[in-house]
Amino acid sequence: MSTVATEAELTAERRSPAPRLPAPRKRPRQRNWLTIWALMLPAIIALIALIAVPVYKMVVLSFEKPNIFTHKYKNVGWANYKSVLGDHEFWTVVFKSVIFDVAAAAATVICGVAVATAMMHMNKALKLAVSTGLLLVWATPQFIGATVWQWFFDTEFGVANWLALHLGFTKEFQHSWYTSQWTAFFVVFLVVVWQSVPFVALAIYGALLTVPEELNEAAEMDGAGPVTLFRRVTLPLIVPVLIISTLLSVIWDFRVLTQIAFTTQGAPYGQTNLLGPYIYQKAISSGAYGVASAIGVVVTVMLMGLSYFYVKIMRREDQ
Amino acid sequence: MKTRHVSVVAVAAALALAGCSNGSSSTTSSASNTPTSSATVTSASPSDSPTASAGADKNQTATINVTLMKDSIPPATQAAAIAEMKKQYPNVTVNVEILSWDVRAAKWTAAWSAKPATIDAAEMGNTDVLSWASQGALADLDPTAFETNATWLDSLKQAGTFDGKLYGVPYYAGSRVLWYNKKTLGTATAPTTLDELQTLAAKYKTGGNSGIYLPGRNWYVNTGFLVDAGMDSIATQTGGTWKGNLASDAGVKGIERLKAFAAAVSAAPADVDETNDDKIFGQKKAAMVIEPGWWNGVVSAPGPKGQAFPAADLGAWTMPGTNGPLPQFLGGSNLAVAANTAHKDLAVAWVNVLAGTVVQTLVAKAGSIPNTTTLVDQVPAGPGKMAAAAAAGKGWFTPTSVNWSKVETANIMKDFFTKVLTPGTDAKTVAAEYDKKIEAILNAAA
Amino acid sequence: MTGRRQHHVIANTFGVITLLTSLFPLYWLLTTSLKPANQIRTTDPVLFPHPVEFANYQTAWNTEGFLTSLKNSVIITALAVGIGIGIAFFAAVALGRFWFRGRTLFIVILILIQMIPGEALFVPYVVLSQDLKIQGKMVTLVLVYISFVLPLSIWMLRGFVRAVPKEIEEAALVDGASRAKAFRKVLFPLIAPGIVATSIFGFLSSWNEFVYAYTLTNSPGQYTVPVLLHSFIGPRTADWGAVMAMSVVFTVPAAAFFLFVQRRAVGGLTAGAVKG
Repeated sequence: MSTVATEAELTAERRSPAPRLPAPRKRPRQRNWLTIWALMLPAIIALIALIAVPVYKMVVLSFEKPNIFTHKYKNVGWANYKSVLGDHEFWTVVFKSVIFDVAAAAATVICGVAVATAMMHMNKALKLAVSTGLLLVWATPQFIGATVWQWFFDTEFGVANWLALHLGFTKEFQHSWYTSQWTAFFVVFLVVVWQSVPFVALAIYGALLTVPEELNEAAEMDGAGPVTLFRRVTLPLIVPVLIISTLLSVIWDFRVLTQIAFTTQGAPYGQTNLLGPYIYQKAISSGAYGVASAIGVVVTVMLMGLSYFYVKIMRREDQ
Repeated sequence: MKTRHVSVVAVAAALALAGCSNGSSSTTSSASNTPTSSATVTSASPSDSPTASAGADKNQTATINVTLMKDSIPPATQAAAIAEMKKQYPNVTVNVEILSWDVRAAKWTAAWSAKPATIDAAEMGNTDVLSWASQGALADLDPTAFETNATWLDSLKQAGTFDGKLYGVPYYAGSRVLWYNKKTLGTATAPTTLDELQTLAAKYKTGGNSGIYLPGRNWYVNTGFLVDAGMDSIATQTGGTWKGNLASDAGVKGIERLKAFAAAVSAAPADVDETNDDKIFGQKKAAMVIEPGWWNGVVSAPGPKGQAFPAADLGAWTMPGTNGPLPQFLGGSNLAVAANTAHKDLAVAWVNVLAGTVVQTLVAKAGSIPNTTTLVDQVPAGPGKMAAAAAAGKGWFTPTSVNWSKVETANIMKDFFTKVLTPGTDAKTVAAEYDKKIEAILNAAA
Repeated sequence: MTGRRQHHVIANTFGVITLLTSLFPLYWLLTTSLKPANQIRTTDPVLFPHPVEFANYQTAWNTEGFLTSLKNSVIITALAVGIGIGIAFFAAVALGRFWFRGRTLFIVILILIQMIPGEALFVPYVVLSQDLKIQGKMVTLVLVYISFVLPLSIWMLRGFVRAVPKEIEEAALVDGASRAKAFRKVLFPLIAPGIVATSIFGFLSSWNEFVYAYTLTNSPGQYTVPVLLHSFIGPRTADWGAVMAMSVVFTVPAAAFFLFVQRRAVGGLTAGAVKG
């Protein structure tokens, strides 16, 4: 699955400048290679055994109609791919997943940066409270957190409806948040963002802490306003972490599963089933293991597009 | 609110509990008639179960892993089953694991694809059997190996049969009755027709409260209205092609009746299922609910927290239909043995214990409908008995297609009722739309 | 400076809002665990449990297998994170300190791995665990979790390695320390905070995992806490009070631990950066 990347990468490597960190003089290059191998080998072995092999299996399965109970595997060529790519539902799901992904990842990163920046200026007690709160959210089992949110927006017992009623927004108590695709997605969106912000916020906060105070002070003395200060001094220093958090948010939010399973369960009419639940249904509930594997491959290839940007960024970083 | 806790695929969560069966007395089926009274599998064995027929060695030492479903038989009955197994096989250890309905498919997939299988025998919802049997996950079994086989409830037996072979041994059935709050209803007498019930229940629909709490996604109950109006089955097969019946004249008539009934008596949202019945009923937000015959155990369970609905205030009636009881879903559980089990003889022996007289008597006494007609009279008088009687009447079952489970996985029926019960939708149009969806799934290659 | 003060006001206000939104669901979780069953999920939501009851915690504590599952969770997570981070650390040093052919490719592959939908790998993992005859053994879970933890850990740690100015290390080398010693004495302490941060991350992905923990184990004795929690949720009989009580017991120690190490970690990181 990585042929494209391989070629792109090889060219990138060829064009890379000479070794960035030359071994200290007087040491033979030989030693370096030994060290590199010794350091990399465990990871390479683990990645091959634990990831490459299962992925290979997935690719093989994607060309088969397997019966995993009788252990009979029938090769079906590209049939699974044809059925996936020709399935209108699949493209709808992908389209929705992309939109949701962009919205959720953007919201997560913006909130994360805002929270992290605010934390830098808070008073101490509050800062401690906020970081504790974030850690607690992060440490709460996903499905429990999702369940609580589902309760808030419950048709009959929900706090949201209760509030709306008592604040006079509505006369009718039983507003159903899950009969409209938009409000249903809104609930999933809230859960996802709520659960993802802590990681981004804490990562960026960590990065912000590494910005030497003198830099800020120096800039301030030069008369830089807060916006300029952030753009000119802070931002460049947290860019690597920002890129990483954004990329990870985009990748993770593309296939939320638990948060949907424990809130809307696809309601209304399966319209909030994004890629995660979609694959789960194919792979596990309906026993279409071959098709599910094909979806896995297709999705991976699609997401590989993202890695193109990453490679570009990395190369810039390397130079 | 969708059943919050259930996971994605969740599906037929309610399924097994669901139920009801046709406790239908008498129709024993054709093939297997000699009840072997011995608990084991001795020699009575046709071709297909060589291991089982070997007559499991009583003294062998082994461990088998079996699963039962959440909220299924009471722990006491389970303990009795283990004790009974121990009596027959002193050196065999039975590991029982209770599975959650929502993630059972993932568990079975992992366990049954293993060689040897890591689950030897399992309780399954009766609508589960067909799909797993057709995939080759289950072992076919010799009916005569089971003590009670001659008098099995026909509906459960049919549910466990695929391609003429037995894959799921009947376990127990359940059926729904109309539960009511005696304090609220006072001296009201049992309604005998749907119209009477509607008149009675409408009086208690006030504000946000329901006369009968009838959530839209409780499709096991709601489909009964369609069958009551004369719909044969959700889909029928002619010449190898499945055709949906929701939009048939009878189907539409039933939908209209259901819509009118629900509008008159229920304040339940169309997009909610039956998960909250106990809370709504317990919080006095509904005078009546439609729930299984053993539901008193749920709503008035004496928990440590004093929340139980007082058992003395709990009454039950048979749920009436247009003419006679409302047709009930013939639900229940079956017991299956893994195709890849290394201990087929012991798995069969365990199934035989669960399906045998000792355990089934306990099942009946606990208020569920036992797998054999001979023990139905052990069901205690009251709601349990009522449920058994209702189940013995006209009932309905899901289409016998190996693809049916995909219809349930995709929540098609729940979505159908949500949509059709949402005010302002046209019954015929929605029914036709869902007929198409059902047909597309059932007619696809397995 | 007034500008600065204004900052603080805005920041503090924002902090309070953040605190409320992040904590309200957790407040609900906590109060649910303190409510009797008839106050959970009511049409008029009960905002303050009265009376506060600890019966749910009693139920949780008395639940058969609660301690066992806690122990399983701790062991499996510790092994997965320990091994995963250990392997990742070495690779991160190589990737962050040396140039070699295929280095960029390797890093890109780490990103690509993140893009494979986990659900599609379910059957391959199941089949492989059967081929290796380790299905139903807890080691399978450790291996699966290492596969979750490893790629991202390498990637994150590499960032931390790079963040340490190479001059520090070179200075040590010039002082005559061996390369191994320079790693151990100079590099390692400086990356330690990064290791902690990465571990927290790996910890959570293993600690909360449910599907594999449920399907790849064979008996209640092998349950991890999420699996045990889930086993309380039945269609008609969900004991939410007990579930929430258990998740509080499950979450609080983890969060407390994070809080502890996070403060250390962040402190260490700044110290390193400043002194460097």
